[in-house]
Amino acid sequence: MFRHRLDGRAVTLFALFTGIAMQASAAPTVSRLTPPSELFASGNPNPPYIARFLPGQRFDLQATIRLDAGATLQGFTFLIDGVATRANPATRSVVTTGLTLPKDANAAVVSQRAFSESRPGVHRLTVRATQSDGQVAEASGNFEVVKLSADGKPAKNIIIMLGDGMGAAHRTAARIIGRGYAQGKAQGRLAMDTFPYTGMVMTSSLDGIVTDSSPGMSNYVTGNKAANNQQGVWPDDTADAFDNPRVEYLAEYLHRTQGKALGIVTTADVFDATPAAMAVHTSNRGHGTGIVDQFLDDRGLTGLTVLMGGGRKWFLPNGDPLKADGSREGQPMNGSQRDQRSDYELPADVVAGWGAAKGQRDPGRDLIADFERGGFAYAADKTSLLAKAPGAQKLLGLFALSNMNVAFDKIGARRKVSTIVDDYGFPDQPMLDEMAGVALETLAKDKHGFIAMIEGASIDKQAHLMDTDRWLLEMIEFDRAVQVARDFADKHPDTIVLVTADHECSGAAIIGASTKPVSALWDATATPGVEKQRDAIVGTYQASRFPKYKMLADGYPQSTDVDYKMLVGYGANADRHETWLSNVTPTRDSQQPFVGQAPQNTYPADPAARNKATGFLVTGQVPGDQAVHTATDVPLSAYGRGAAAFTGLMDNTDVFFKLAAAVGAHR
Amino acid sequence: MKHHLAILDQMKVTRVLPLLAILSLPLGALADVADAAPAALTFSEFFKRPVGPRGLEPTPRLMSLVGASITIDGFLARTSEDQSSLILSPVPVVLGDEDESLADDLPPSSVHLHLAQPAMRTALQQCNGPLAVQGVLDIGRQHEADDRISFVRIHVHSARCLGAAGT
Repeated sequence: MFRHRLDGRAVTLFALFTGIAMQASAAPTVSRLTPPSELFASGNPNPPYIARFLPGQRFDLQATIRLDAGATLQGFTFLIDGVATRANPATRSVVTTGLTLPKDANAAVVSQRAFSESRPGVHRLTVRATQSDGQVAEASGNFEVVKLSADGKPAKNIIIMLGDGMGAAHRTAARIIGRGYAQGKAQGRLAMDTFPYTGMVMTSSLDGIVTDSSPGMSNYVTGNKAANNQQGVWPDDTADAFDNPRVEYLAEYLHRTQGKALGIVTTADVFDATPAAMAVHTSNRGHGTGIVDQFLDDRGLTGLTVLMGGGRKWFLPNGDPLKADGSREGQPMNGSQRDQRSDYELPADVVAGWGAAKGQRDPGRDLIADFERGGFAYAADKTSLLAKAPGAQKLLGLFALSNMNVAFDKIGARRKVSTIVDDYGFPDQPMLDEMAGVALETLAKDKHGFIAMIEGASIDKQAHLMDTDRWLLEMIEFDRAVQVARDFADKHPDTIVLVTADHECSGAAIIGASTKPVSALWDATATPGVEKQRDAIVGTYQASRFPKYKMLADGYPQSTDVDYKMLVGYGANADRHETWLSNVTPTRDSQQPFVGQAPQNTYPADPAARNKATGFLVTGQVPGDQAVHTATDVPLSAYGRGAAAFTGLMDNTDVFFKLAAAVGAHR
Repeated sequence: MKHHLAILDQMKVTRVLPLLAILSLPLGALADVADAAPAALTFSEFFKRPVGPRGLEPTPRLMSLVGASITIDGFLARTSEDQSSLILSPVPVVLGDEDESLADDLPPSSVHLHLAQPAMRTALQQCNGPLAVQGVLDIGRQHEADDRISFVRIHVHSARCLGAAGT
């Protein structure tokens, strides 16, 4: 990609030397203006404003200028309320190649990085660009700088408990299993149920009513709408996944203004959309190498102190090159997925504007070693985590090559009734509540406070697979972590804890309960079909009664296959074969080591293949082999200092401003 | 029903390819390849279990076959995007999902196939099912045509489609 700092004179001279004849044509136009606004998109100047910021929160200004054929860009200016902005030239750029526009398009993407506005209110953003024949393109949008209230004593710590894909049905189902119901009344409350303030969150992304996890998380912690697959950025017209116009994360803002630390804990691969959307700016959530590199490289911007989850494959050097004599040094293979294509190297204007590390495409990087050099203690399993945590100031935990095993299989291993974690090659993985406890203890060592995101990632992943029993135990594991967060807040009253989701997944619904004991469900697998497995078993309304699950001392149900068990259906389902029984093995995850090899070669390939010989076919309403996210609002519950603000119906971007107010970001 | 399609027999290149593949190896590997009968290798023999703190570690069995002629069964990874590389996977996979693109579903033990005879490519890609590959095993970091980094490669002599030929 050809990128240069804007130098109007240079651009003009270039045009002259190339002798391009200016053609008589329509005037140049502005096809994109960022931050996004309805004023620019539709001419509507009224609220709700698409882009909103805290006073002083940094964001990029960018516009795509469509030039006349043969013309070049002479210069550009961004104006706020009619007044030209002033910026370090090093933070401005013009990009004319490597664009994603049609080949015959003559365009320039102009940027001014890390702008900020401190005056509360609605502001008019204008871009004015001049092409080489003197014609001017001009367009305007608007944005709001939000004035925060100054009520109450500020919180010091923020804990976001993020149940990925967790809708109201997931919460209810976990309560039915974990606490039980009798004569219509829940016999106890989940930890998340005990939070005194609850509201509902609208989760849509910038480009669709249904979000994926990138904007689903990013919107909470930037205050702005991202597009699907993108996090911490807005869309642009360049191919580079790491040059998109940025908006400052809450972690960056609070580290810059208050010195707060950042902790990220997940049961997914740490490059996954939700954890990455706390700290990494990219338009492609799949660029794992660049994402994990920036976790470390930009820790000076984010305050990253704890990073835990799966995803070891992104941190391993991908072997040593073959030397001239045919020999190699070091470990020749390790399962690394680092490669050039998914790595990052930032353009100079982003580096200059944001103070971000430039980065380099270095698949041979030993990122674990670099984390250790950066002061992080590295734990590869539960045993080392618990051993190293007490003395650690910073923690890196990578407990699997890809996503961690789910609670259903981890707890099965602890009870010595399952070898699934051994099949995956990671027999000693921590539970999420154990990870959460260690993370919070470590973060609490920071005198300035912290923001932590603790994610139950496979609520979503197992809901995608419509493996009901597995996401149910993910919910219970997640709620145990919520209890850890609540206990922390009780000991540290200057803490606010949120429990919410980035979106709902699968359209999960508790449709009733089995009218038969579990033995009948097994019997029905011998002659699968709608008549015996649906009509004879699914009890609705009063036929659903109140299923009873026995909880063991480890906090999990003895079994989810109980007599008259709760039944879950899916409104956003792909094809699946249903038996209503738990699945002994998980559905195949091809990113895991030893996949396809015994005993993983017996794992079902997808929900349609699963139980094909024993279950009845439920025809999907969506294409593909997995259930999908939905646009259904999700619950949010709040506990601790500043929690009272989190009630009613709110947009996911509203949460950002409420959190900022809770920690006194305006003071 | 499985069809055994001897791809290379149709191309009349079976006597040429092994030589081409051998010539592409480091010289030290030549003696082993010339004399040894193909060793049957499975994906389950690639890595030690459990996984270590610094990632996957190759088994002595895998390392002992470097430069040797081997046979292995797998599935050709399908991709709608960059098809410049052929990848043998232990399970059927489709690469290049929209939501995670480069962080795709490729199993860690996947193998890049290097063909001495480009004409083999079409026949391999038409195999819709398991594939039996024979060739010379090579191990270590290598930058591939699709910009991936391969750890394990096979310089393919021959291949048989064990599933249905054609798409």
